[in-house]
Amino acid sequence: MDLLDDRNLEELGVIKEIDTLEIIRKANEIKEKKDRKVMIIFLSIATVFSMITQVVFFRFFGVNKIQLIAMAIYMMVMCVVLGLFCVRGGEIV
Amino acid sequence: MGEEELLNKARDGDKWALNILIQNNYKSLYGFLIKLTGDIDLAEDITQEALLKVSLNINKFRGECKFITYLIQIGLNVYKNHVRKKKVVIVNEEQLHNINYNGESHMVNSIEFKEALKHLQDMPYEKRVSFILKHYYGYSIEEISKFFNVAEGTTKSRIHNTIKKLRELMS
Repeated sequence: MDLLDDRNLEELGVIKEIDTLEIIRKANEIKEKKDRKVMIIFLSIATVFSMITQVVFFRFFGVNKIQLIAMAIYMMVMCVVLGLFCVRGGEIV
Repeated sequence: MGEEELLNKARDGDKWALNILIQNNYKSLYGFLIKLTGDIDLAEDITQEALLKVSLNINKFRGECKFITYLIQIGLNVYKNHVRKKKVVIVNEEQLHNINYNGESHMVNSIEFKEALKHLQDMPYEKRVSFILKHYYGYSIEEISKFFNVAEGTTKSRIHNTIKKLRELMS
């Protein structure tokens, strides 16, 4: 059974070299992708809640034309930023 | 640099430290999986998958055990998942034939190697793992018992039975 010792397996060439750096690089890529996904979800939730809050706020306290336009512009900008963010896979710059 | 220091650095995101840690330990995991699975290619795949998982979750490892023990635990989980998905593990005879042996003594080694690997595969999972950990990696009965969460007597009897059975098979 000593034939199956790690040293012997290595001498026989059964244990091959593994590119550990490549594995670490792959792991980093996976982590980054995951982080970006979380970022997109977080930003989406933040945008939706921000819009809902504004709508509720204006419903309760009334709204004039300028405020409505400001809100519409804000919503549009947020949608464009979120869209760009999603298309770029979570990268802002 | 010691293992603990490397672990601390790896947890802080130091890729160099993580690479050294993995480099120092992956061959033991690879060897362990060859003995466990009896399949060289499968062992390589599982090793790579386990190393990827370790790289992803290194910050979750609190250092309650040796790094190699952590690697083996992850390797075992990956193996269990593989068995669950595939149901049956078929040992590829061809890859065993491809191992290079030069000379007569090596030829004898080749036959013995295949036999030893085959006999190990005939053992039930828990007995096989307990035997490999004790015989090849010097784990204590206490450590192996903790590994499987069983009484020390159970581990002792598992190892004893495995050795007895292997002696019978090898003679």
